[in-house]
Amino acid sequence: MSAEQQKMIIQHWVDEAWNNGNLAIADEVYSVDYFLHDPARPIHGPEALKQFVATFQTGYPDIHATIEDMIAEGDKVVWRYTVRGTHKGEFMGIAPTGKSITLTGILISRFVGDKVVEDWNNYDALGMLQQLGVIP
Amino acid sequence: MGLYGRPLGGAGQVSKMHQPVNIRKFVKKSQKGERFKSTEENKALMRRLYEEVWSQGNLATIDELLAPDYVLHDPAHLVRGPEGFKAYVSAFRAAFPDLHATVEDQIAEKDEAAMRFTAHGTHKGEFQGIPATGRQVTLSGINIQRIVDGKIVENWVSLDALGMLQQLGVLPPLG
Repeated sequence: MSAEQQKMIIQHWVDEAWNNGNLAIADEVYSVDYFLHDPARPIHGPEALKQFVATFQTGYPDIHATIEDMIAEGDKVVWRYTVRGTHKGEFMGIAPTGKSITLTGILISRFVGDKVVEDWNNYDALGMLQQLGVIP
Repeated sequence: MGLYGRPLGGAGQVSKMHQPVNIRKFVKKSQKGERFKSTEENKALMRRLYEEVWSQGNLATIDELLAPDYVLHDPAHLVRGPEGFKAYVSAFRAAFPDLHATVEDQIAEKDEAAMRFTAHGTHKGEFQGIPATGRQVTLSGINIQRIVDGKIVENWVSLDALGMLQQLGVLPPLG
């Protein structure tokens, strides 16, 4: 699998799942033993990943993710992203505030063949909570 | 050869992408006049930054490795220039004098290099207004650097700042 094909898969995931709400493609993109290293809590498998995305879509119904940059080498793609949305639904136990958020992060995806098997994610959760007014 | 709608997998498998996927802006091309060091040299440069500057506090290395117009995009800060970066590093090392960064993984392509790292330290000095707590902190992060002619010109970092404040006892665990 070439670097360009790997980048296309990541862009396809963001376009379809995050921006078009088509979570079913998680089964195409991610392996059954997929593991996401996230500072908040690990995520195992495509179903848990769909739920993770769904919680953001519930909290921010107009959510839109943009990939700012991608670097690919060997079996890995690093992607820097920005997520924007308006807090109109409950999110992480926080009642809707109506506030707009801009969340930045960087994620590393490891491929085996045409599937992503492992991710490492770091994002500005602190900044997001500050924008929601939950943290000063 | 087009980039759009290429079938994935072997012969006989249905194309998984039915709409064009535009990744043109991520297909790296050299800017006229720029020379790229090899990806291995760029990775070595990033390791030096983490080992000599972050872990050993050798600020002189910053003048060697950073371009004069260096910019760091940290979600909480915009850091400019070698002097700005020295102040940024110094603030962390004053708060965490035993700061040590471990390189977990590196990925590089053309003029950019990424690094996943873990930083450990003991909170012995004031940090962002928080008096010393004596607590140990482990912080994960991912860093992307754009390197031109052996100098870092631009840097984006994503850190688990929330986790760090929770470990310092400033914030409770959140849902």
